[in-house]
Amino acid sequence: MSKSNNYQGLQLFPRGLGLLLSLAMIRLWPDLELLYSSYLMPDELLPQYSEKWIIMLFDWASPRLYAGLYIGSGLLLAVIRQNCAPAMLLFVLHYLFFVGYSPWSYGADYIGQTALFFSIFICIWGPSHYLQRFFRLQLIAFYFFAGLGKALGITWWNGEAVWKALQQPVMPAAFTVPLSAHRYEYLWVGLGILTIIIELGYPLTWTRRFRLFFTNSIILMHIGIALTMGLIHFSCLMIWYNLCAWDHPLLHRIAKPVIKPLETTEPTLQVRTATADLDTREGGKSRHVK
Amino acid sequence: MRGSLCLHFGLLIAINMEHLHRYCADISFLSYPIQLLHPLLANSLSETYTSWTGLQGGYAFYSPTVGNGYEIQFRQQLANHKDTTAATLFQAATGLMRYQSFLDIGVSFIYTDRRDEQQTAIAMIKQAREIYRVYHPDASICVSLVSFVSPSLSQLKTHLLSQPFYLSLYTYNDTIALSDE
Repeated sequence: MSKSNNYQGLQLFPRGLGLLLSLAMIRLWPDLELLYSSYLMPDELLPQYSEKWIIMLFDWASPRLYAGLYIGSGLLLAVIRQNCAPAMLLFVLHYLFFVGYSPWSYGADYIGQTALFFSIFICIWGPSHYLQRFFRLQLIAFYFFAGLGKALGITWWNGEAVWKALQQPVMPAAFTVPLSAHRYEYLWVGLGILTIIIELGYPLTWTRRFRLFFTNSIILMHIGIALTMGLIHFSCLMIWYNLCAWDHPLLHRIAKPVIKPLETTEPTLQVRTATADLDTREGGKSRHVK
Repeated sequence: MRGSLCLHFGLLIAINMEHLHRYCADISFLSYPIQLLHPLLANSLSETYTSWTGLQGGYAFYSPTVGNGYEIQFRQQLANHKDTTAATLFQAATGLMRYQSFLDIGVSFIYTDRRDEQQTAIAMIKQAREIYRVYHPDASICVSLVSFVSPSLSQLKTHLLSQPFYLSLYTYNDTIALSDE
């Protein structure tokens, strides 16, 4: 992992986040009216799951208006570097749709809200050493508590949890595991224990020695979740978090066209320019060549 | 700055310990740190902060175990006896996923000490029936909240169960309620 004196990961984080959140909202667009009106949720239940001002906003205008603003803010955040206005607008709109109005929320929404919280800091104050440490600690806390919760359940140690998660994909998945695969019991046991180890051991990413191993393992885990459980948005979000938090080498491959303009070091000349003042003495200093 | 960071992570730890304690109530060592950290959470400022920063959700996903999936099924009591699910109401998989994640309240029919959530689930079932009626106004509809139960590794190994099935938790008919309310 590079020493990232210019904190490229943090600089890129809001941009990828904006793009991911916009894409998620575009996918949700056809069902917005159904979800954010009084069709699915009885009126008497709504105050339990939503704040009053949000209910009023959705009564006042179509959810698609707010969704349009959401998508626009996300795309602006993705395209324009370190712009606070789209970050703040997206922060409020994300709260409106997924946190303050919570019936249809799931884990990725709260992670997205935290990500936007950090993006505002990045946009306002710019990336810094303290912000990078804050960001990394947040991610460490996330995986540690996720791992701790799993470690407290017997089903994650005997393979039943992994098996069950794979047998009931949340969304249409690219790969389905057939029932006949129950014979490979040790595989499911091993995956469950590995999940606990990777998540509980994630704090070791703080040290350079273990960083690449744990981040690569977590990224592979999330790719597996996306392919077998259909949780593509959640997986992409967490992969992006990991790539940006630790300045993963893969980040530079994915974001190469964007990283190039971020670089601030001056190009060095490959060829010496001959001048009359060139000191040709052996070991002499050439003051006119960079 | 350091004080703010300590407060932020204090809230994060408190919320996650409470979530863990809720799901793992029999684990006694969680009680002491929760009692210590609870004052951090017990005020409106903390609630607002944790909502807006996304901390309130906690990170105990699929912890301590993976729950069942739940869905709503419709049965039209006509000559063709057409059965459909709530999936037909949605145009996007992500919308259906979000709706079904809320239907996790169906677990309240399995654990009988969650009567409030049962009432919420029943209200959702009736509401789903009303939406379905918009598309099929003349049909007599039976609506059920079902749980998807897949056989576990041990059940498959001992041939106790060989195929997944749907367990009906609550059924609401157009004319009568077939389960106790």
